[in-house]
Amino acid sequence: MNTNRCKKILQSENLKGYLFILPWLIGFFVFTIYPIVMSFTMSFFDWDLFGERTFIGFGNYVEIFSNEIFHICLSNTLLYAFFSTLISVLFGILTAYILLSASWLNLALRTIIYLPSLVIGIAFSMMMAPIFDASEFGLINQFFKLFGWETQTWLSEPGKAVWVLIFMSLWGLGGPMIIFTAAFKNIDNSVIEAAKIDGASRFMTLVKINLPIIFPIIVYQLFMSLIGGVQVFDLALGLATASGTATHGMGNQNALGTLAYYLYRTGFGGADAAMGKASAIGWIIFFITAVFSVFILIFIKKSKYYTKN
Amino acid sequence: MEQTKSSSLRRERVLSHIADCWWLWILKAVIVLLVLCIIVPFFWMITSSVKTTQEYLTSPIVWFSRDPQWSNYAEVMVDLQFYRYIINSLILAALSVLLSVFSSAFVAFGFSRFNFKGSSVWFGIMIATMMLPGQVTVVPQFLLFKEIGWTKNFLPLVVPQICGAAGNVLLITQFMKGIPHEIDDAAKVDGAGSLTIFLRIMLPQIVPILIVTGLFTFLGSWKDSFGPLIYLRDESLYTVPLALMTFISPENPNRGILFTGLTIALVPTIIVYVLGQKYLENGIVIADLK
Repeated sequence: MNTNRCKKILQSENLKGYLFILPWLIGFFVFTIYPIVMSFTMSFFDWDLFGERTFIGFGNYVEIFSNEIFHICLSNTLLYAFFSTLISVLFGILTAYILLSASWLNLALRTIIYLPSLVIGIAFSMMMAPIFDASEFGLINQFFKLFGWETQTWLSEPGKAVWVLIFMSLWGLGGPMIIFTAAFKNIDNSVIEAAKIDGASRFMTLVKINLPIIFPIIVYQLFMSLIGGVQVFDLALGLATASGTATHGMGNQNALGTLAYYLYRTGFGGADAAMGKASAIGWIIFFITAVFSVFILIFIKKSKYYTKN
Repeated sequence: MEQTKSSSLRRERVLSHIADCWWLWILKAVIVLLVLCIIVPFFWMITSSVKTTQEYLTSPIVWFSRDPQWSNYAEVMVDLQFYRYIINSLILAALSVLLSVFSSAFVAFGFSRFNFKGSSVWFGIMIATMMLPGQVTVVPQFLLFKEIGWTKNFLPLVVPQICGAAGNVLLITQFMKGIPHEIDDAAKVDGAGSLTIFLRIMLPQIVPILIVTGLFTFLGSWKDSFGPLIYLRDESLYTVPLALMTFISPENPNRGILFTGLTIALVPTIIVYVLGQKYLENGIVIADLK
């Protein structure tokens, strides 16, 4: 009798739980599982928006890998993902740590650092494009001239333009900074006080106490920055649009190409709407994310903080 | 004698302070540099919004226009009907925020308050989906929406929000776990159903995290260009990012208006940020470290 009732309650607990997560479950199957299966299948087809669909095996992948544009996009994306993650995590921790106490100056500085995060990505890079203008009128080139240095073509050479993108990720510090600020604030103050009494210098306290405590957040932010970095799109599109080179390619000589941008042009922005090929590029992006994730996991396993926790 | 002793002591203290904190000053200098790097382009954007085309591309730089073109604002708002795109963006963002935040809270309630079979597995899967790049699913999603005829409207960008967003669910679930069960238990004893407990008891207690997730969702929607580029092919549906892209065209030689548009586009986000800032740093604390 008693066990029966218990069972009933448990069952209804099950039912209620599933009813509440039902919206997400539906979304998961309709907008994640189904598209994943479909896009994997499509990546092996010559699948245009209109017209014949033929199975071509690894044809799309072979075609992509033998394309020179893809090589530019791949190296740009890898470089951007790596360095923008490094920048956003390092500078995110740095700004959060230095500007932690709640003085009005710190508050103002934090607000300024967060300001670029309020700007539409495409709009932001369109605004920065004239600053990196190749002519002597570009803001940076004007500074270069001021110091007597040679003016540069910043955006129009493959291999060079990506560094502008990476440099621009300095403006995306706001999000990570807020996360790290919250994490630092959450640290129990008595631990820091105890370290101070023991005569630990501020640097040692930071390295030996603060950072290990917020380590889970650092890992979380590493993942988030990396996933965002691999998908970099609007910064490149904005720069290409503003420099008037978005109609025929991704910047001059595709210098601003990234994988997400390449996917957009292959499937949606260009004339051919090659959906199968676009799906294949999507899977390449996924593969890169997975590889980077494994690296992060290895890094966590190896780091001594992990065993401490 | 006494004096020299104390002064040498002070000197020692100053020296040890320098030894302890010199790196802090270097880092502070780096931050000042960083802040300058951020302020200069914004300053340039705002001052350029009233420049003539000649002034905007000159060497040496003209920082302040000698002949401010306030008409740039009229040109952007009236002639280019920028207000229409702002309204589009606001409608899209408002719908996204309402739907996403409400259903994320709904789902989070399920994850945080019911110990159902497989809950931790589903929660893990949900976290894992956050690492899935949107580019993997975008093509079939596009074809799906095309198939059911949802082209040339906001539906493809709005309807998925009904299913909640993984990141929002995560933040809200963590917040809910920090809220004591006593009150819902008391309500349960009084005979309140789960839905009533969610609506009347849980929601009022989690307002801070609802505001934080609402702010993130608003910014995400307002700043998104990939989704609108794919789904909003009709000019009357353009959101602010798409409209701004049309500002640079060979037909319109006035380069100042781009900066005017950019400056105007910044206003709504700043308002939203100022309103939500208080919650932004306090809402996340509870969510992450526990």
